[in-house]
Amino acid sequence: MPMTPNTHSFAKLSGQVEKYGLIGAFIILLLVFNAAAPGRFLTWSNVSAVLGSQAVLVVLTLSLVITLATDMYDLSAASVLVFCNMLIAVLNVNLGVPIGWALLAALGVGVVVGWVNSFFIIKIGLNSLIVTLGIGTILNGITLWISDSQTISGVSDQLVHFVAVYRLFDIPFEFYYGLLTCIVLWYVMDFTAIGRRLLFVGRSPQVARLTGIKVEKVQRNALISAGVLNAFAGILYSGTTGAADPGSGLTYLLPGMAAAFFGSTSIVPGRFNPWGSIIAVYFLAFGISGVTIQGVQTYVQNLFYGGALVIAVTLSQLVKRSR
Amino acid sequence: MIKEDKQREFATVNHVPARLSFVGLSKTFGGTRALSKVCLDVLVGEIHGLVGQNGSGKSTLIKVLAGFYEPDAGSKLSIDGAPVRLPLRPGDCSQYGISFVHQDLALIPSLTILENLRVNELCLKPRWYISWKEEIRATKELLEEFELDLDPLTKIEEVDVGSRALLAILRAMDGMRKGRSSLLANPAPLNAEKDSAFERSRANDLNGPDEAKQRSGLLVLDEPTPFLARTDVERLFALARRIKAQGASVLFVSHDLDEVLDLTDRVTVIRDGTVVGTFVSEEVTKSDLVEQIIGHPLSMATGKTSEKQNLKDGTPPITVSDLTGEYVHGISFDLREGEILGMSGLLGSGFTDVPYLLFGAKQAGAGILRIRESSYSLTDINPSIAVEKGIALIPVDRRGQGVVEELSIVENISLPVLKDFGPWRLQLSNLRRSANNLIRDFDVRPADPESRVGNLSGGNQQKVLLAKWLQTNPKMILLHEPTQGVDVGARQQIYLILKEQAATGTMIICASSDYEELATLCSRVLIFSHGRIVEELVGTQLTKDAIAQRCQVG
Repeated sequence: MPMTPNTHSFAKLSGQVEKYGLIGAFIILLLVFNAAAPGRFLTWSNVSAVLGSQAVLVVLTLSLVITLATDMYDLSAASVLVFCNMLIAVLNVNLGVPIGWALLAALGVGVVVGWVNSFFIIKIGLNSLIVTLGIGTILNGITLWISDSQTISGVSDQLVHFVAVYRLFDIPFEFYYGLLTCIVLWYVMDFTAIGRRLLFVGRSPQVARLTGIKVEKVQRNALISAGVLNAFAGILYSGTTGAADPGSGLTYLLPGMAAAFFGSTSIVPGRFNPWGSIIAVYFLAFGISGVTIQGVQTYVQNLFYGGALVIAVTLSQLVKRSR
Repeated sequence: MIKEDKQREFATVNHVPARLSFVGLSKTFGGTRALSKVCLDVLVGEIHGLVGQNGSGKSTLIKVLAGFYEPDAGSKLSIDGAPVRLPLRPGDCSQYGISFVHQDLALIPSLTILENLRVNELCLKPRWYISWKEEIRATKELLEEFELDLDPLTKIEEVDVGSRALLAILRAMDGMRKGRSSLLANPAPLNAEKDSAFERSRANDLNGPDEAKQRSGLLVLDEPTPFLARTDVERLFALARRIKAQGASVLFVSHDLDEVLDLTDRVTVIRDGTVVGTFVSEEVTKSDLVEQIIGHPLSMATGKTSEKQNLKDGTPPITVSDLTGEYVHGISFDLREGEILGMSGLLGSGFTDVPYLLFGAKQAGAGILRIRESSYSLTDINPSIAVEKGIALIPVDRRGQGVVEELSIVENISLPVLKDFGPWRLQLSNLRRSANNLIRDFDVRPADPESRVGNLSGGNQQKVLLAKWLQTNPKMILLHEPTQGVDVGARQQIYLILKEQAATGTMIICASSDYEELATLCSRVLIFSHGRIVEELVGTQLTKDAIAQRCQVG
């Protein structure tokens, strides 16, 4: 059916609004908070602090983007992060293992956990939600066990320097690690055959299978890559805090989910995508920073992330339905 | 000679109104008439067959009765002599004592026999306490009444397929009695006219409430048998006869004429939306029925051997031997270069499984596929191996298995050829250009590679699928109902595309129940029945009617 020029340009406009709406909202949010707290919110030190401090969440969110795009939920993501954080601390601080080996061990854990998840989800055919909830809880247990439920501090200065201390344009290195991860994932998802296969496996395993794609292999690789990214997030977390505690990192899971779903409503609406997700992470982080500067209590974080998750999922459903 | 049954006389002689009587039932969809002035009487205590080809209007009639379709004005229905207001709403039929068993049986495999049989009592009644002892007793009673030796607490998935069908019938039977008895206990006047007629029928027909409960009801069996083994069909028939003996009526819808003649008292034939006639089953033969269903006499000429000789020169490049799956049993056939081989048969005859078994989309129990010099065990094949070997499958479930509707044309089309466009650095503009060329060649509309496949019509989606596979230049293409849901214009285009592709040497298998399509497209058609190839049609035998006949005869 031919569209009249008017409806056509309207459709195009609404498409653009959908794509860049989050960026627009982001800018408005920055301006509003800046007006509310002139000279305190949009200062370079505040901005660079937020950019740096959210790198861990960025990497974790990107890991969730991979699994969500494959139509799986990885509830073990934050548990892998915390476990790797603790493993690095135990190896490096308690056992004196050189930091390089400790980091390699952490990445190895990421691979193993991804593989174990994939074994139960794909080989046995269980629901990803249940498997990763169970595996995540087991990891939390092991974390408490190897740490004796204690916080361990004094992780290698070298790591801390390369993550949080060294700066480029006055922004900590870790921000660029997150950005780089985002660029790599974007490239893989959008410009390689791997990305296309991931897309089809996530959208319709049936179609993918009948096109000759090895669906199980794609799903397994997605889970393993997600595991590695979770471990990487754990490494960044270790570098940021210079320590390890068995609990606090677990709270990253919900903001990560919120950002991944929020991100799927923009840039490439209707798809879990890296750029949308990274923008969503910072949108939420600056929002929280803004209200915190206004002197609001820290419980606002929960309101913010919880609300964002529900709104994001609602939006992504509406986006899907409108197509 | 066929004698048409004088059903009305029969009914009036007995002074018993028909259990179910449609008069002048019509149903129009848009401009097409699916049913035209259909009259159908199902008598009390009768097993009545309903037969006709696909698209003859059988299922429309059942859906009107089930309350899914609203019949045209002027259609009349009466039950036990009492007029019933049309249209029926879904669920209405149960209060008239009509119960349905559809092919899918509607049992929940993971729940027990008890939970499945007593779903209405358990879920629909406001009860604050369920006495499981009482439930088990009631279920046992029902099972024992029909001599089914099953534990009420067995899960449906642990019960054999044949018994599942019987359980579905039992549940329908039980529901039918309950619906009926509640109506009798409390005859709510549906309209004034009905009330008196109802009383009359009760006075004539029934002698007391207990007997009323036994003698009432109509059980509609909507093609319950295609996937059952012979012995299970016998058990099902025995059950249907028992139900009849209790005074209930059965409407049996089936494609299998042997079964229909075996089971029913009378049979009604529908063709092109009209009733051709109602016959006493004992007085008609199978070939009489086929003739009525198709609309003209059976031709007996086969001429198979002479035609077959022509095709026998040279070794065929593809042979399939001893292919066995859930619904096919050790079939063998071969394919010649550039041949379009058709497969057809009735529902449940197994022909629809062949493409999926050859592609590894369904697990084969046995079978060897030989492509030129190399042979493969079909038990080991899976879709990714099949694609590597140059086999493509275009499934009937286009939206679920063929395309991803929320993705674009270019994304869908390019999936099998990504490796040719730099898998590590996709040449997106080349992909687009290639997709654009395909869209032009296959005349996909709208011709926008970024347009979502879900926005395309069925025919255009099918063209996208053909383009997706034909660009890989496959050795063999497996089609299942390639033009289902495709408009006439696109249908012709698709036939042309397929014929051109075959001319380049590609071998094509087309499993279809569209006889006209098979006649147009194929050089040879294999007819399946009960999981085996029973006939091979070639050359002049390849007409729509001949294929239809062979399928009916089985």
